[in-house]
Amino acid sequence: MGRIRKKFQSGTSSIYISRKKALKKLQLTLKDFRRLCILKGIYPREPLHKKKANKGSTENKIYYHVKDVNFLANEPLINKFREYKIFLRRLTRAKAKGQKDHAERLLENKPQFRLDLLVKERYPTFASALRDMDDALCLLFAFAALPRTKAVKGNVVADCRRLTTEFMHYVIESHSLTKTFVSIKGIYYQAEIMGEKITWIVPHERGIGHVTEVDFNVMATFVDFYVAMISFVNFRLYKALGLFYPPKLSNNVDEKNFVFEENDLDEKIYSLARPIARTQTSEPEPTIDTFSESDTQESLAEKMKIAQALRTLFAKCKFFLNREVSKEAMALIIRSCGGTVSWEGCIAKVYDEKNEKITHHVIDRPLDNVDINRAYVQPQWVFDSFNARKLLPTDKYAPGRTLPPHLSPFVEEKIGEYVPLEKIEQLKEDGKDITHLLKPDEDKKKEVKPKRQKTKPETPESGMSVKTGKVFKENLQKKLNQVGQELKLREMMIPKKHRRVYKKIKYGQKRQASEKKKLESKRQNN
Amino acid sequence: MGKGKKKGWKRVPREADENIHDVNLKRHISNLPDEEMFVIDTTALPLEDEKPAELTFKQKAALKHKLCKSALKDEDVDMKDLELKTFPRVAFSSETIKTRSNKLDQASTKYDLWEEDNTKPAESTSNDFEAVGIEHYDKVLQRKRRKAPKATRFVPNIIPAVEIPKEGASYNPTLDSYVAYANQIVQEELKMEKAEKKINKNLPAKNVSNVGPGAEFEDFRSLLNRDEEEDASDDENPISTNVSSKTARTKPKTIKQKKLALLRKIQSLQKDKESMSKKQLQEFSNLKKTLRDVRKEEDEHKAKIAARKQQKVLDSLTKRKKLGRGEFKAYEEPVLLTEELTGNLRQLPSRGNILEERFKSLQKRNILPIAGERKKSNRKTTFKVKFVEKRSVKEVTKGSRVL
Repeated sequence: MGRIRKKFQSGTSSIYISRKKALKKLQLTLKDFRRLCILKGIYPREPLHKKKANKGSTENKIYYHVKDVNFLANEPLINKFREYKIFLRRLTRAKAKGQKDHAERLLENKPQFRLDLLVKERYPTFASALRDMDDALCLLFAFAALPRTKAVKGNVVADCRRLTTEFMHYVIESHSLTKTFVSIKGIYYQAEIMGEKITWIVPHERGIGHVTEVDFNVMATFVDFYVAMISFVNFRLYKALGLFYPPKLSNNVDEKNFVFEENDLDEKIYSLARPIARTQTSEPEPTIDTFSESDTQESLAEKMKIAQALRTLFAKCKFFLNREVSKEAMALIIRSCGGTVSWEGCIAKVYDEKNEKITHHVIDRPLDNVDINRAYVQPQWVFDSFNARKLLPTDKYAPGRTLPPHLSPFVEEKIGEYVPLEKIEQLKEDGKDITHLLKPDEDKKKEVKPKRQKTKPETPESGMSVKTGKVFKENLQKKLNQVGQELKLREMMIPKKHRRVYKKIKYGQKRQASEKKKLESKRQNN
Repeated sequence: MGKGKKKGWKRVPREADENIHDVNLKRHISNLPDEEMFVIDTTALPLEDEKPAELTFKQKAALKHKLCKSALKDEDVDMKDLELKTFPRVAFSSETIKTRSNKLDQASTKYDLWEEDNTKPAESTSNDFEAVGIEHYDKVLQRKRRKAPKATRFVPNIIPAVEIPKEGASYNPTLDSYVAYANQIVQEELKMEKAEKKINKNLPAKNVSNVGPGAEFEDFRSLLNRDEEEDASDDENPISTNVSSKTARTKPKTIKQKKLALLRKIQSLQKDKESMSKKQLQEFSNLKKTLRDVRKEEDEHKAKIAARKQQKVLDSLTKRKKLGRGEFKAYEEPVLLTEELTGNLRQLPSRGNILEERFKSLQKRNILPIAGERKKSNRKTTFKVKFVEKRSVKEVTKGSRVL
């Protein structure tokens, strides 16, 4: 007699474990378990057969892999969580009893844990860390603008700000920014760092409204992890480029009269206006790390040329930003193309508003006083010039003028797709072949449709006229049909219990009527 | 195992694994100047104006007791006792209390995590047995970090974290792209509206008719009366009504008719047979073609199976899985109305929240589960009062009435 195998002991049911059971196994609270999963990178699974995984019932549960949970059980971070819980308990007791010294001592010896090992575990190589930078950067940029709350702590927000600024400094120094796009949500950037294309969004500098569906505790845990990760990534990136980490201002400018206080120095670095110090003086050559198979030697050489041209796009331009323009975005783009930038109230100011050498003044509101020697442009000029890789004519972007539409560089031209007129013109200027982009009925669409003067197509006025009318003939059949339909409707409305009786009565009536007819026909025949 | 042997374990450093990074820390700390390690706290935090704290019950009771006592003894009450004894308010602010490792935390990240030099120095042992022993010791004492099992290297989703924005989402879009983008969003809204309408349609009607319950009977009878009228006027009307009666049953067949029918049946069967043989001949001639068709169909079928399998794998990597019973509400892409499309960056109204987008994106990429609401238990929350009659035996005495 063989062994009796019970159901749900092996296979799917033994691989997956529900969240409640996992909590019981690990002896953690739900909050701690959530934190641990986020920090360790453990994700819930969806089993193929829910019924099997749930041992017969089809309830909707959150399942985790048993091996994941066993792996979590060996995590020393759990001990730190428990220590923190004990610390909190002691602290509240001390506060309630009024033992100030004891409470202060407890706070000084607050248990802190470092996430270095977790970062190393999740990203064994630097390249794998770079691949996850998208998410990390977006979150950090979003958090850097948040106000301090119970879930979002002040030092976390300060850390986010610091790390994002350091990253922006790196992008500037390495000239790796490739695309920008201003959308309704925020500004999209794409940079190519060590062969990885990193895309991130920076929200516009406005207050964040009421958010209902976001769990800030969860996001705060993500941010904790990403803060640890990005600080290491930044260190490595800075080392690779030969910059000092943490960043220091380069000593090119004469700073005799400055009083150095620590906060001021941080603010100067945060302002992105000045270059940071390097350990080696030579800048690395532009490298193209992403290759596609269709690239030939010439196209690669072209790409190198374009990359080199991008580095010096704004080299001969001196920019001044007006007060209402977003300074971080502008400084990032202008400086990564080699330009210099300054604005009113900048702590690390290089030059003043009245400086004669300023070539471009970025302004977003109606002009007051005009200086003839400089070109006044709206901020979209900077974005568009960067995307187009050349200095566009500034007259189209003069303040007060309707701007040409801001196109997204993320869209790639495919044969057969409609390409907007502005892009076609741009390509024409570049001397590229655009016949494949034009469709046969392109001529009609070539009419420039300015957005402002959107008029609705005028309908031809319907004139009054008299025509001879038709005689109204009543269709008897239609009438009868309608009557019949009405009757059917009313029959449908009869309640169920009366329906049987009704049917029987009707049947009886019909039978009588048919008999009558039969008799009459017989009489007629005879 | 003896007590002494167990105590010996405590002397082993438990966090030797973290010592690797502490080494860097210590190296760094010993080099740090005093200014970077210690901070002179210049922020003076004023204590808030305190409201006179309320006396606790104990204090009140003690005060009362004292007053009573003094009243009894006709002593003068000590005014100091009547004053409120307030404990100094403990004011906590994280700025005043700098945690010990605030500054040291920053220092800890100043090394390259991915550098190969930072690995644990190989412990040179002469004996192979020693190495095995040390390994075991490490495992048992949890000094060595466990490696992540293969099952943990799970990729939840391959969708890129940040999705490429649509052309029409620009703050200053072209007309066509904006119209296309707005249309998309309008379609989504229409879908939602349709779903809402459907739900509202199935709700019970608010306006119930004023007709009472007996009215149904009346209607029913009126229909019958009508029917009678109709039947009377039926002969006059040559035009047929939609409400047609069933056709009358046909008369039974005569023998002759039956024989004819049988003959016809036999004839039709013979015809079929002939056509079948004709067909078969045709089929033989078209055998090659049919075989080719069959093979083609089979190949298509196999290709479909393979495509379906591939699609399934792709779906498991790209689609959102249902983790938990909560409902997923997709992030609504922000749109600007035509009045708001001024093309001016300064006047751009704030729409859309990036934190929400990130949160929803994490849910979409199967990283965060959506737990939904807690299950409501079916237990009763109100209880019936049980009336218990309590009778004591002692109440029963001579002459008492027990009802």
